[in-house]
Amino acid sequence: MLSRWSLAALVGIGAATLTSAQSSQSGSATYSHNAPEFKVDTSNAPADVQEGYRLFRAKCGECHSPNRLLTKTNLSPDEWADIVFRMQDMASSHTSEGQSKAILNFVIWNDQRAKRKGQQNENR
Amino acid sequence: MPLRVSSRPRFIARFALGLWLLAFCTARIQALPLFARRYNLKCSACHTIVPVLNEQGYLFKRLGYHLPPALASGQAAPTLSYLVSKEPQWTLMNNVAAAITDFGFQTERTTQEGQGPLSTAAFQVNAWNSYAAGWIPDTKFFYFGEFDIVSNGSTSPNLEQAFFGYSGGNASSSWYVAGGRESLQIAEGTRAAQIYSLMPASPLLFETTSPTNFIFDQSPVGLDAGYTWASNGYRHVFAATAKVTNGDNADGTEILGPSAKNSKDVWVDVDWWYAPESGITILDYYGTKDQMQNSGLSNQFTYRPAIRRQGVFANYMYKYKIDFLGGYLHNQDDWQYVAGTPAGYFRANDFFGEADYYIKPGLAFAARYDLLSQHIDGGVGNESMADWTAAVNKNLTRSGNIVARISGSYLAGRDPATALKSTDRLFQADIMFNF
Repeated sequence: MLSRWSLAALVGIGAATLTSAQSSQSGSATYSHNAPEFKVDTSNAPADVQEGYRLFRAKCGECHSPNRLLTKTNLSPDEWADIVFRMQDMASSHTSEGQSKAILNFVIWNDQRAKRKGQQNENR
Repeated sequence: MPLRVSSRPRFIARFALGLWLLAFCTARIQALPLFARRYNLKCSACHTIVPVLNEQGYLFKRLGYHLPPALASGQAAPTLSYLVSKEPQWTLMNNVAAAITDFGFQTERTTQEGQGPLSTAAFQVNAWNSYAAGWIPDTKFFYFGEFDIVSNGSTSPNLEQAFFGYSGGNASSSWYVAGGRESLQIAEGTRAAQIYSLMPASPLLFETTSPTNFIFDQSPVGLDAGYTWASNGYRHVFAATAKVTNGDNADGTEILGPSAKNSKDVWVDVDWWYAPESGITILDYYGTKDQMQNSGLSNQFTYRPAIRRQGVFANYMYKYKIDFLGGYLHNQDDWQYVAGTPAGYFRANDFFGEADYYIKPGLAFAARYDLLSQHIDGGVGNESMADWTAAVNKNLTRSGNIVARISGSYLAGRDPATALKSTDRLFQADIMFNF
């Protein structure tokens, strides 16, 4: 016979296992907000892309992990525009239309840069 | 007859429980607080610096703990049912925060007329609170629980908040009703009206106990309802909230169970966010409570004064850099020194002005001046109390879940009942952990 404590322990272990299982089922990749941020070299990019990168880090990085966004490079320009302008209409955006356009410019540039890099790696 | 328990399985079970707790807590240490965990967002999505709520944090609460969606012109606002359907899967991890804690060092020097000065210095755990909050899966019901384990350095377990609610409408025009034990003012109103600030203590108007033993920073039991309207892109937000509560016992503690005071207290609040991160709040409180006068003396008596509070609060966020905040609260409570004599009033007026300079995201310098003047009819005359506070807050992590703060304050003034002068010089360095 187990004591109430022991039963509570078993129930607790069961609940923890179920919780872990649930978490692993959700499956989506998560990025630690406390990890060092990826850096993008925009030194050879046009000035508007450099400004877009600065705004991207300041505005988008206020709520999101820049690492998560910088590795999201499988979207079309239209899909990016959808996201960026939707974000502009959020309560926490603090972003003007001009700033949103600059951010969009940067994320599309970054997307194409990543795709080019991927292609170069494949050709090697 | 007690159960006979073999010691071996009991030991194994307890050992397993210990291992599980260790694993569970270790995982928690890497995690973000519950709401940020739920959406994989930084704390700054809803706070300027924890625990100060920004406009999105304010709206998040009013939508029944659902993230405010984009409100674009020409598109229908998402309904609450839609927001519920888009919520991530419910897990324990994103509905519980085990350790919202504050650890610090403080030195304090106090003086009072007729007594020698007193100096103290100590490390202390200022707070250790646990929260469970979120929504009931696939419904528009929400819940919030706050269990305080350590408060102000002493261990005193207390279920400070416990309420359930239901929200409806859409993101542009929403409403909610809730019932239970809920903070009267914390997280209510626009930013200047919210009790939490970048300082270790709130303005005097929220934290000073009146001679009628009433304090604004309390968690009464009752019902509340709110309505919120938001324009496209949240350029303007109007909101109104009303609460009906049991009110307080004679000693100022909240009435949590049966009480001979059958009348209810009323709190009403109207908010307008007129520009990004800038808002105005008007609030009103009316209630009654029992008040014991001349306690322990031969002329002790109890009467039931009416408690009245009216306030206006405003802030203006300039270029997301400098937040100017100010508030005014007027108190007028019925007052009697001796039973049977004509009733007078205890009156008080409190003004505060504050500037928070966000040097960069996650780093802010804040300074506040607070002046409280108080008067009791038939008493010692007008007495005032002034408080200067300055603080520097810095996020120690990119997510903003660990915040360091250094602050200093100087409070000086006279008691409205006795006219005794006292001073309090306080220096505090603390770290807030939010897991």
